[in-house]
Amino acid sequence: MSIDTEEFLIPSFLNLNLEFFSAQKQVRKFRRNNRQVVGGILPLGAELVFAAGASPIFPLRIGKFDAEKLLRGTRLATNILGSSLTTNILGSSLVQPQAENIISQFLSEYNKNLCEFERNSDNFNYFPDACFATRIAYGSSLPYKDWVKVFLAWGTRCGWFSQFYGTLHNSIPIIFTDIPKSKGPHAREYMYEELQQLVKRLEALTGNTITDESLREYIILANEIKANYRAVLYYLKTPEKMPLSPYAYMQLLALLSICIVDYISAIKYFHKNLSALVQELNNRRKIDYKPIPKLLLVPVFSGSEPDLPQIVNNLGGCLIQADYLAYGMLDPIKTDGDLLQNYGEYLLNSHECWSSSKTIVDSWIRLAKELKVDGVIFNRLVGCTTITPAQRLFREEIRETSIPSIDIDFNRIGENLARVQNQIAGFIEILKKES
Amino acid sequence: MENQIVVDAVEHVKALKHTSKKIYGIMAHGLVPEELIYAAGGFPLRLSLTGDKNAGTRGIDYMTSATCSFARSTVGQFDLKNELYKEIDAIIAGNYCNGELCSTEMITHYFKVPNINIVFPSAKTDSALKFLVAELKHFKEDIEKFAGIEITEDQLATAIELYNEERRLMQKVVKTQAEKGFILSGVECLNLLYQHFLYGVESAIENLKAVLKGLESKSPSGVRKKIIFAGNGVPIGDNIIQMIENKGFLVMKNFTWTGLDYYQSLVEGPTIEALAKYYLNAENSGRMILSDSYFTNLAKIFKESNADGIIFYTVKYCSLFPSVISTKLKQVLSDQKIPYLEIEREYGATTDAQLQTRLQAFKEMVE
Repeated sequence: MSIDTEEFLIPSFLNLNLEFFSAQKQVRKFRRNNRQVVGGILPLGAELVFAAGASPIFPLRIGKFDAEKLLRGTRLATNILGSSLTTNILGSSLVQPQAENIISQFLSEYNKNLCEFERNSDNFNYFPDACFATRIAYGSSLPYKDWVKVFLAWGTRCGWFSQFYGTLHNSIPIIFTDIPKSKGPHAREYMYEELQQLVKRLEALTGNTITDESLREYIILANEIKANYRAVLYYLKTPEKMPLSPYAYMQLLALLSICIVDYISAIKYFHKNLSALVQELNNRRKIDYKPIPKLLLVPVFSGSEPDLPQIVNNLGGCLIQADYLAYGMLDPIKTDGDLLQNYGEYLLNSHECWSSSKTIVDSWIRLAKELKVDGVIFNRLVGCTTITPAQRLFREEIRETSIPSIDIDFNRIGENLARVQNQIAGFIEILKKES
Repeated sequence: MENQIVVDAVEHVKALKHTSKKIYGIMAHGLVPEELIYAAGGFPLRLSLTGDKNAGTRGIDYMTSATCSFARSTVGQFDLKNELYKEIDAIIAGNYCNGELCSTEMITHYFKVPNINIVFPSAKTDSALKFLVAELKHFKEDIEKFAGIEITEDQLATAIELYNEERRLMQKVVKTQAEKGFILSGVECLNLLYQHFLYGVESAIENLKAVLKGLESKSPSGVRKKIIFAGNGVPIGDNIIQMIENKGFLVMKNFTWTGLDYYQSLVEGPTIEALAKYYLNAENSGRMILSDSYFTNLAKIFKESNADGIIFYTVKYCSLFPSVISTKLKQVLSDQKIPYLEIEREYGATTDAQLQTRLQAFKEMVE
């Protein structure tokens, strides 16, 4: 754990973690400053929200984290004692145990929050057969309905997303933007008109105009954030030169997969710290992952067991979550010409990446090869009617490659955990023997 | 024992094949514009078989058990080489339902049945209508290409008029029933739709005419509690309506894609634009986020039709209706003190004891 602690104390990493867990504080500040808060569960549209002078929020981040005080204390200590903290005997003895405590406390609090969101969803009589992602989205959004002025809703091929928005609409106003499952000129025109409506609604909400200049500024920031996110994932292309220990790396991937939805509600801060972090990581590329089984988890999009990274880490592996890369959501948006048209193009392209089982399967396999993973874990999410049905196709197509894979089931947090652990243990053992 | 209407349909479809007619398998929801297929000289066969446990289990091999039983059993029927389905030349599905989309993809991949897709918007705006018009034009081109013919304006106009004639007859049945006091049961009305699904529009028109003629001389027998049925459709092999009526209810209105009340509007014009408008407004199909008006309309119809209750049917793992009913339905119907019952189950011909008890309790509630 000690190496994780040292990595955890990288200032930019610490800042990102702190900001991630400060959602309640952030929202209170936005409200004090009369800044409108716009909810969303997909990494789509946040640039437009910022450009309208509002702030996006991913409701999953809203939750109480008692460890936040400890984290702030740690940051203060690192600020006072400097970056040599972990090599300094006094600093190390003071801060290191506290940091370890914070890491474990944070993880358990985050999981506790997820469990609470799941319970909320049950208590609010949300449909129990719905996918995990929409159940916890509902359970996390509804208690904070007074904090969120409006919710961004996207028309995708996923029926559960549509139902989530439709149900949420009873409590929080939504702005519905359809993304057509087609790519001809008529689809582009329709997408453009849908985005124009979204812009109008956001402008009406904030009283501000979304100018080309402001939108371009936020798209550029978002593009750079996505490029850094891709860079973090692409470290895997040279596994002998990884910048972080597997545990810290997995934590970073988990953090990014959530932060990308709302750019942790502070895009400039996120951009600054992620850029600094990647710069720092580029100078740290000395950990050899070759003996460590790297397992790609697909799909993650609709939800996965939150303890999975920890389980894989304890078994000596490293879990890779890269759904957004597979679905084109980390692709850059063009910044010249008509920005709304470019944004529409981006939405159409990314929607196309998960438009059919075959396309999804091809994306996963391409990703597994690109990231040089040793195996793939297929996360069979009970209740997912969009992506999980690709399971058989995936099994057949991955068999054609030399990449081993296993299937695990996921429905509710903590369910079948011992079984999953045994399955992964067996899988890792086989991979280690083969290598 | 296999349903006789299905057994006979096999012979009917085989006979059509001998005349070189192309058979197009159409998935559920009633959103594929059959008019275009008819205009191209094809036969639109509605893939409406469900409830076969063996087919449902086979379907799990291709999809997951968490897919709706209709989608699973449709794939399973292809795996079992169902006599009716093996005559199909192409399969048509839309993006409005994932079960439909995924099962069609599997059917094309594993059973090599060509797939023609139709894309619907999720919204109902003017822009969405413009988009759907363009999509239907593409769809028309795809059908023309597959059939190797060009659909003329006249052929399209004739097809639209024929389907409108069927809808007018359905409307007449609904009106006569309301005026004379529900002579036909919900099951009998369902069979009128099944005639269309398996034998096509012309046969359904003949059947509707005969039924209407019969209605003239008949009068309703007995008094039963009248129910409005909404939610998921009832394909062939599912006995939910029968179960409800065996409990002493009468399904007076059925707003699903398998009910006469689904077809209460007409395509207003002989053009693609008119077709797009018609299908875009088919709100009861559940292809998009249901607007609040869906439930308020249901409540309004309940009051106007003097019904005794509403039964909302959901098929397990359907992601189109369920969460909406848990919230909006409860809210709107409870506020207006309208008795309702939500039923969720897998499609099939089962006599679920628990469901029987719930139906009995609901009956006592409305009495």
